[in-house]
Amino acid sequence: MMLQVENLSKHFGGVKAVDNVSFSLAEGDLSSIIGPNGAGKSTLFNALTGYLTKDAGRVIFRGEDISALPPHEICRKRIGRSFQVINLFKRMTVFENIQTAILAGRPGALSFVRPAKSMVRKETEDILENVGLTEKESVLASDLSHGGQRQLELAIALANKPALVFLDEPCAGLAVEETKSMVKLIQRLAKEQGLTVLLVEHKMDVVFSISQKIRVLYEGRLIFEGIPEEVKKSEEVLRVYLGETDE
Amino acid sequence: MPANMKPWMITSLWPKIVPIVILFFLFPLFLDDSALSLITEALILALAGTALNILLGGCGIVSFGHAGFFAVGAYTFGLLLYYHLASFWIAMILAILAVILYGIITGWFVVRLVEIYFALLCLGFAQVIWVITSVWYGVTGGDDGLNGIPIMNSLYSVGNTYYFVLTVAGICLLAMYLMRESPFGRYLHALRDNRTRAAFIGVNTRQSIYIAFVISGFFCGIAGILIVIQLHSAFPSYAGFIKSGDFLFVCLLGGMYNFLGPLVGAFLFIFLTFFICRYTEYWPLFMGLGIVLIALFFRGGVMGFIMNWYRARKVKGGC
Repeated sequence: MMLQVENLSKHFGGVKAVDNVSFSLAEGDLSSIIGPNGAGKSTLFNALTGYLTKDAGRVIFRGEDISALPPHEICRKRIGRSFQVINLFKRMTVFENIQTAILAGRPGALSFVRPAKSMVRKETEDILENVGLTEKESVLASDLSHGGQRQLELAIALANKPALVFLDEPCAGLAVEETKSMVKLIQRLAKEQGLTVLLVEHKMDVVFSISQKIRVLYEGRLIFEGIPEEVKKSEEVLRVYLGETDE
Repeated sequence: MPANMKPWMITSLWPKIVPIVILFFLFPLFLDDSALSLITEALILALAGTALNILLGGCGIVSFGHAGFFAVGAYTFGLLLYYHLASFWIAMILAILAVILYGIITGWFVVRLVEIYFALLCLGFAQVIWVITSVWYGVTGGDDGLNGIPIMNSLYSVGNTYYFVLTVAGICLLAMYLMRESPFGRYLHALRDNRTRAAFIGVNTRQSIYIAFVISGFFCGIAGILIVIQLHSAFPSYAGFIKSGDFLFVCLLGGMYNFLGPLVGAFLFIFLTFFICRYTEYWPLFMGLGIVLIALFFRGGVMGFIMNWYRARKVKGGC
């Protein structure tokens, strides 16, 4: 089993943002978490990746308990994540963004005197090519188009050659065509690199086209888990989610 | 570019620095002592500013208390020599160790805080040093400072002091440049741009800031040692917040996102105050106006302005 989440809870004061959530991901799974705004999706991601401390529960990655680890150590276990709000190193070029992410994922690469710009160039170029940013490599991250920033967001998440990636709304703010190519990109990368992907996404067409399995989060609780067809048919899901929003 | 580049092979660096270094080494041939003293002062300020800039431009963290490091270096070195407790070089080594210790102890506290609290706690520690140096009359001479600190005989000439400061500051600047370009420098830039994301690419952000803080203080402390070598004195004002403010000002004036920014800022600062002082005693007024202008119109400082202009010209030329 790639990832096991056992009875995970996170409270903010009296609000149960994540309430006793358990699920597991098998090697190579491509699955999604959906739920209305405020359902606790981002909180769940933040708790899983060490950004938030957990009030209860355990997270087991490949047999190892990672519940108490800080983000940088979770990252070094080869877990990647992207962000809903774009989180880039804006004063660096596209190339440097990825290069730095690769270097930071390898404690052995730490040096105080070797010039970073000559290190891990091949790996950086490979990732640039993989996500289709080769031509933009010397553009400052802040000067990229929104679509380009989304691609770079994904590229940084992939820099440490993760086995598991959490993608938090990778298609947020993208136009229809851009969304289509992002979906294709995620599918291709997952297949080629044998990635296990857990996705949070608001765009239903993306979720249904990409996921082998969908989990529905509502008021912090996991209320449904199944393949896309089952989710579409589930009355409970329709009531809490599909019926009430149309974003 | 070769995959395994050694630090000294940063090819783009040598053509730029060699002529500048040669020029600096030739200055004593055609400049008089007063001009050399000014340049020495500027070099020391440049070293302190560049050291502070490891945090400011490098990590996006403001410290209002870097004068603390400057004073710890100056007073440890000065006191050891003043009371004949150690020879010149031993005093220097002990002073450097004292600075590192000060950094490790104060750093342990300050890295637990962020933003304004970080800056203020740095100031708090520096104020402690200021109080110790200004009230402990029996040892430090209090407000009057330590005067007539005996240093190496050969360093009593302005020219020799200049060469000594130039060499030490030059080596320190080169070391800081290498660090800035190294993977560790990249970690710092990453957490400056986006601390949350930096953690998620594997950077131990707090530990990195801690290391950067100690290194930054280390170089700032060396600047404090150099000022004693130049002036043969140490004063409580070395630990004062005005001193910390000067360090910050040279970074802003020269440009904190360019490695040479604090150096350029320090030279401008020293020479502008020198010339303005000739005409009016109200020179802080001009400094204040300068800060206002920078904050409003030249956020990148002098070097930022030059680089933007250079880039714009290159783009225009390319069309």
